[in-house]
Amino acid sequence: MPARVITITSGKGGVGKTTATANLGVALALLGQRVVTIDADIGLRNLDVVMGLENRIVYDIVNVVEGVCRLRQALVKDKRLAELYLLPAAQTRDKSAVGPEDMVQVCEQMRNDYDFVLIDSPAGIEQGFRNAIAPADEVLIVTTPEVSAVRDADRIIGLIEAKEKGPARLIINRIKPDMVKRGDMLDTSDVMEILAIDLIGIVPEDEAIIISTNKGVPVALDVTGQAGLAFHNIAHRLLGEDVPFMTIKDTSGFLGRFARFVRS
Amino acid sequence: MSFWDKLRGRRIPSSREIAKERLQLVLVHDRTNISPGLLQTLKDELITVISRHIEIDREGVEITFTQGKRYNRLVADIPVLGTRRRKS
Amino acid sequence: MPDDRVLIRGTSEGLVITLGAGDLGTLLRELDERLSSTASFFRGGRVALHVGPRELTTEELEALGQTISRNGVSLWAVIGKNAATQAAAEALGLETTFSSQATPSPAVASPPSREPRPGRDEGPVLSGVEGQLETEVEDAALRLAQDMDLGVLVRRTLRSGQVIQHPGHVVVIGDVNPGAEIIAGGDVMVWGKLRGIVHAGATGDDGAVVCALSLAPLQLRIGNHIARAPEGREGLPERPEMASVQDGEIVAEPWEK
Repeated sequence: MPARVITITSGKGGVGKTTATANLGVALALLGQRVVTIDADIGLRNLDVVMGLENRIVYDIVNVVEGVCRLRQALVKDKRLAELYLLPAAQTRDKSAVGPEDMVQVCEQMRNDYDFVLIDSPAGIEQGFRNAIAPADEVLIVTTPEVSAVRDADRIIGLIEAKEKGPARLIINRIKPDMVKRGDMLDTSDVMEILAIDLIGIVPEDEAIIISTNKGVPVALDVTGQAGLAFHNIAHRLLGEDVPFMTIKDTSGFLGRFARFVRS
Repeated sequence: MSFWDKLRGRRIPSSREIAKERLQLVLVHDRTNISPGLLQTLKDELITVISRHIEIDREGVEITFTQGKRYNRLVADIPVLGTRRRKS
Repeated sequence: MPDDRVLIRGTSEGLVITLGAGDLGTLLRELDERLSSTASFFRGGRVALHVGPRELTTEELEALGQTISRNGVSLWAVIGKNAATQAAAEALGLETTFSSQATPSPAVASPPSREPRPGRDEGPVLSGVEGQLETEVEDAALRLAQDMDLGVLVRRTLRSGQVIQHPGHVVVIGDVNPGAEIIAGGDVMVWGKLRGIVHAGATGDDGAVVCALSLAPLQLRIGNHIARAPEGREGLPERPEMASVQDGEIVAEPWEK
């Protein structure tokens, strides 16, 4: 089965596209998928550092497009996982170095060898965004529950529908349940009502994400944290799997409480 | 119940409710390329044109733009005073 | 990781208990409670005690030894940085380093790479992976396994990309990292953290079970059922658990008999 090309975009910058791309790549790879992530920014590199692969870049997408190297040579393999690769962005100021047709061609080359191609779109609606959208089979929109992020997401949804790349699905990032309870943050239903596209996942605000970026160790490498689990939920939905959670039967309730008492 | 209704009910809206209301308003404009400035210009020109034929209460004119399920609607509410006699 | 804890792990050296900082009396009670609630899992094996910089007298070491042997496990080594502790251990005839142990031979041939992996519908492939038995901990594991018809014993941590397939039971002494995979026709027992993907009863046996010292798999299948690690748990579970199919769904419960 040919690869699914999924572009992750947002409109507004700083809402978590790159983190989402990195972690979805890791989660899918952990579930046995063959994944390539592409940093579609022109001139700035982000995805490499979030994935912790910044030291291993030799070639980038511009080198591939210009024929300086083969695609395989430019792909950086994540050694922590069986089949996860990164195609890095170039650090060039030439905005015309890569165009939409180039992106489509590069993705076509990967169709048969991989299961997923995840494209990290830059913020905005300029050339980088247009490049990122061109080869997409599916689009994921990342937003946070804040006024300007939702507004920009709405604009992007319109553009995507106009390019007939829809329907996009939504990731709501950085939800803080306490603030929602206090009435100081838009909640999931508010955002859904306004944007009116399908939701594919919610990622809570989690300090672990900042720590993970500091270390270059994506949170999805560990299912036991809240944010890591959220990305795994999204990965399962992308795979169309409805995998239930295990129920825990706690037959040692009393002992459990005793142990907690002893420890404190 | 809109933000203003809530205010009349003397309940202080939460920042979340304010955000939602503002977003809905601003998106109506964004989605249809009708800026608040454009609405004002529309209003002025409508008043000019209609006053040529009918006498109206200019202060009482209200132009609203609302989002409907299938169509968006531009509604002009114009209080009429009398008909102006045409200059022959 | 808080310091006042008792940590029980399976390593390539066998079973290891790490004592954190804190009041020894409290730790003794915690240790007793942990071992007794999972007695059959460890019984007959032996364990090394890691105490770090803690100073222990012979009396205290004896108390620890008794708590351990009361639960059917024997203490063979005390590893620590404190000289007085080491002296006390030696006085009791305990080892103080791992090196006096015959070096365990490098475990197991590397399992087949992912490339020639058959499709799932072909069923698990016969790829016998055998380990060598050096320590009594492995004897215990093996005896348990033999009650069930031995499948395969893997004495190391499974890393991402590694796959173990066997038509019988699979016992792992070590961790199963996320990205590693075990496919067994029988049961699966992991003496460590199970964080990868596991399929027990892969030939269609819904009665198979999966046990682990720390059950947190990415994905777990038993026979025809599938589940994910339970949500809402912060961090890794500290108690051994067993997963089985009950009333048509996969349920995890504390492993205690």
